[in-house]
Amino acid sequence: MINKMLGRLEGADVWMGLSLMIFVLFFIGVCLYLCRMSNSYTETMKHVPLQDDADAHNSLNL
Amino acid sequence: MNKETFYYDNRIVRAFAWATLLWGVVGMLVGLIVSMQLFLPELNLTSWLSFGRIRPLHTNAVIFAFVGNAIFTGVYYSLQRLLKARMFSDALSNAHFWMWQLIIVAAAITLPLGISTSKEYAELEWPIDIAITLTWVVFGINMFGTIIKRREKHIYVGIWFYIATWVTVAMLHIVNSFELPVSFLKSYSVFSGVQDALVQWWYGHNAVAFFLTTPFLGMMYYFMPKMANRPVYSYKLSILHFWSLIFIYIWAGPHHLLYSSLPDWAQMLGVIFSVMLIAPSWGGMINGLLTLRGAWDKVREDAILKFMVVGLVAYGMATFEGPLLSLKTFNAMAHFTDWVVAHVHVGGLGWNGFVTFAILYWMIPRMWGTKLYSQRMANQHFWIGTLGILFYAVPMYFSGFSQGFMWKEFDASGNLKYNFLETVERIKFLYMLRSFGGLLYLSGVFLMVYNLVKTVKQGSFIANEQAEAYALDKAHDAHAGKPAYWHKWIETRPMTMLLFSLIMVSIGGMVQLVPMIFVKEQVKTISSIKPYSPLELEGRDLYIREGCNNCHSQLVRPFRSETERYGEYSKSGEYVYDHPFLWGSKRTGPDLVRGGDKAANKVYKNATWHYMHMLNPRETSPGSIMPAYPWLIDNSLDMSLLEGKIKAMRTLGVPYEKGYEKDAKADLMKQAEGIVAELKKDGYKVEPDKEIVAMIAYLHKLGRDLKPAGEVADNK
Repeated sequence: MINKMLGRLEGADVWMGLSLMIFVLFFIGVCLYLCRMSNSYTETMKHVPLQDDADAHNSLNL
Repeated sequence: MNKETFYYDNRIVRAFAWATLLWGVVGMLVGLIVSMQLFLPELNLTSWLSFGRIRPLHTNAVIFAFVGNAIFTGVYYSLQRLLKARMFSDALSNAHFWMWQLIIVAAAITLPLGISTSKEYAELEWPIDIAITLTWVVFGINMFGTIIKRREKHIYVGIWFYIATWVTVAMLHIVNSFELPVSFLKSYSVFSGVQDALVQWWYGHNAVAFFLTTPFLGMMYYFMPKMANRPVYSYKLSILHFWSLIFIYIWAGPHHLLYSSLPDWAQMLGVIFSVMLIAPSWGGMINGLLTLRGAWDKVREDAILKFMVVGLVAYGMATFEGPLLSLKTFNAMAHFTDWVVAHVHVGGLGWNGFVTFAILYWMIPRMWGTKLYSQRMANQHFWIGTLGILFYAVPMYFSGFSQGFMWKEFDASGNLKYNFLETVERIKFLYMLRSFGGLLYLSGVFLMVYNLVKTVKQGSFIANEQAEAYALDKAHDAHAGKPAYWHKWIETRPMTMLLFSLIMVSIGGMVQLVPMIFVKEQVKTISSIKPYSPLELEGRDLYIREGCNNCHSQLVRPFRSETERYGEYSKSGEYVYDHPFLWGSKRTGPDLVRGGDKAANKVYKNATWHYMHMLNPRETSPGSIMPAYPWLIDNSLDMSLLEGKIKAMRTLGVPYEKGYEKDAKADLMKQAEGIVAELKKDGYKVEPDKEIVAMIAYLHKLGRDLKPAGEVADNK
C-alpha cells in the first residue's frame, strides 16, 4: 500500500516542500510564543542550575 | 510544607568519570598509532594491528567510550541536581555503567579481530548491537524514572537535550542496525547499495548530531552557568535553539553523499538543511559565550573557562564548516580528502574534548570536597591541548587542499597531471605533523590525569551528597488550571516532551528514507549486473574484515578528473546486491570500484600484481603507505559459513536460485582454480583455498559487469 501511495506522488520533492513548510510554520509558532513569554518566567528558569548551590547543605559520607 | 532531605549519588558519576579518563587515553593512543601508520606502514605489525582494523577501534573508542562515558558522567551529575532528586535506581545506574564498559571491551576485542559490519561508527556486530539497545533502555528507564520522581516542577532546557538525545539515538541505532545474522558474529545489512548508504549516513551524520552535539549542549547549558556563576544568557534563545536544532539536524545526512548515485532530490535536501543548520548551531554557541558576559576577566585566569570558550569556538567553527562542506562546490573538492578529517577533529578535539576536560576539572574537586590540585597545570594542559589541535588541524587542511587540487589537475595536453601515489608522497610530511599534534594533545590528557589524581588524593570523596528541596506539589499542579503557555505545559511533562522530540526528528528521517526504501523507481536497475559468485562474496567479506573501505572508496563521482582516473562514473543500479554498501568516505588510497573493468583498463591490475601488492605494496607501488597483508597469502579461506551466506543473501533479495547454496562450494573452487592458473603462469604457486584468491576474485568483480554508458536500463 505504501508503495502505491508514494508511487502516485509527483516527485518526492513534494515531501520536501511539505516538510519545509511544517518546519517554517513551527519555527514561526515558536518565535511568536517566545515573544509573548513573560520575562519573570524566563528569569526563574535561567536560575534553575544555580539553585542547587543554595539548596545543597553539608556533605555527608554514608 | 517541610523540605525533604535527600542525597545525590556521586558514586556513579565517579565511575563514569574514571571510565572517561581511561578510555580517553586508550582511544587517543590508538588514534596516535593509526596516524603514524600513515607515514610508517611498517607499524602495521600484525593482522590485528593493521590500519583497516584499528582505525574503527580508534573512532569507536573516542566516540562511544571516551565521549560516551563523558556524556553519562555529565548527565548523571547534572540530571540529579537539576531535578533535585537522586537517580531513580542505583541498581540501574550500576547496570548501565557495567553494561556500557562490557560493550566497549567487546568492541576492543572484535574490531582488531576483523569482526565488523563495515558501516562507519556502527561497525559492531549484531549481538553487540542488541547489547547497546538494552543498555540504552536501562539508561532511559533510569533517566525518565528520575524525571518522574523529581522535586523541580519545570524541566530545564539542558534536560530537553538529554531527552532528545536518548530518543533519537535509540531510533538511529535501531534502524541502522537492521541486519540479517549469518552466524553469531557475522551479519549482512538488510539494506543494499544506495539505500544502505542513505540509511548509514542518516545514522552517521546524526550520530554526530545526537551523540556528539546535543548531549554536550545539554551539559553546556548546565555547567557553563555553574562555571561562570551566572545564569544562561537567554532562556528564550535556548528554546528556539533546541527545537530548531533537533528538527533541522536530522535532514542533513545526505550531504555525505553528494555527487553519488543518490537521487538528486535527496542530495538537495541534505544541502538545504545543512545550510539552515548554521542558525541554530550558532544560536547555541552565542548563548553559551554570552553567558560569560561580565565575566570575561575570569577567562584570563580560569583554565576551566578557557577550555569552555575554546570548546564553544571550535563548535562554532565546525558548525560553520559543516554547511560549507555541504555546498556542492566545496564538496566536489573536499569529499574523500583530509579536509574532512580536519573538520571532524576540530569538532572532536575542540568541542567534545575540551568541554569534557572542563567538566572534569570543575566536577571532580567538588565531589571530593577540595580544590583542584594545580590550576597552573590545568592552564598548561589548556595550552598544550590548543597547540595540539592546531598542529593536528592545520596540516590536515593543507593535506586536504593538496589532495583536492592535485586529484583534479590536468596538464596542458589534457591528461591528469599527477598519479595517485604522487599525491600520497606530497602529504606524508603533513601526516607527520598531524601525529605531532596528536601527541601534544595526548600529553595534555596525561597531565590532566595526573592533576586529577593528585586532586582526588588530597580530598575526601562525598559518595552521597546531601541536599534539601520541597516535594513537587502535584495536587497544586492538577488544580492550577490551564497553563499560560503551551511550552510551559510541555516542560512539565517529560513523556510528552519525548513524544514531541520523536515526532520532530522522525519527520526528516521519514521523508528521506521511506521513498528510498519503498519506491523501486528511486534505484535504476542495470540488467548486466550479476550477483557476486561464492568466491567473490567470500572475497568481499575479507575486504570488510580487513577494513579496506577505511582507505578505498567504491564510488566514482561524475567529474572528468574522476572518470579519467578511475573510469565510468557510478550508478545506483550497480550496487543493488551490495549488503552492505562499501562506498567508503575517504581516499587514502585510490577508488577501487572499477578494479575489475579490464576493458577500460584505468585501474585494473592482474592477479599477479594483486598477489605481489598484498605481499608488499612498496614493491609494486613505490612510496605506497598501504599495509602489507601477508596473512591473506598464508591463511586458508574459511568456507564454513558459505551456505548460510548464500541463503542470507537470497533472503535479502539477491537472486541466487533455490538450492544454489549446495553447489556454491564447487563453483567457488572452479573460479579459484582459474585465478591459481593465472598466477602460475607468472611463477606463483598458490593453493586455490587461500584467502588471497578470494580477494583477487572480488577485486576483479568490481565494475566488471557494468556496460558502457547508454546501456543503463530503467526498471519500468
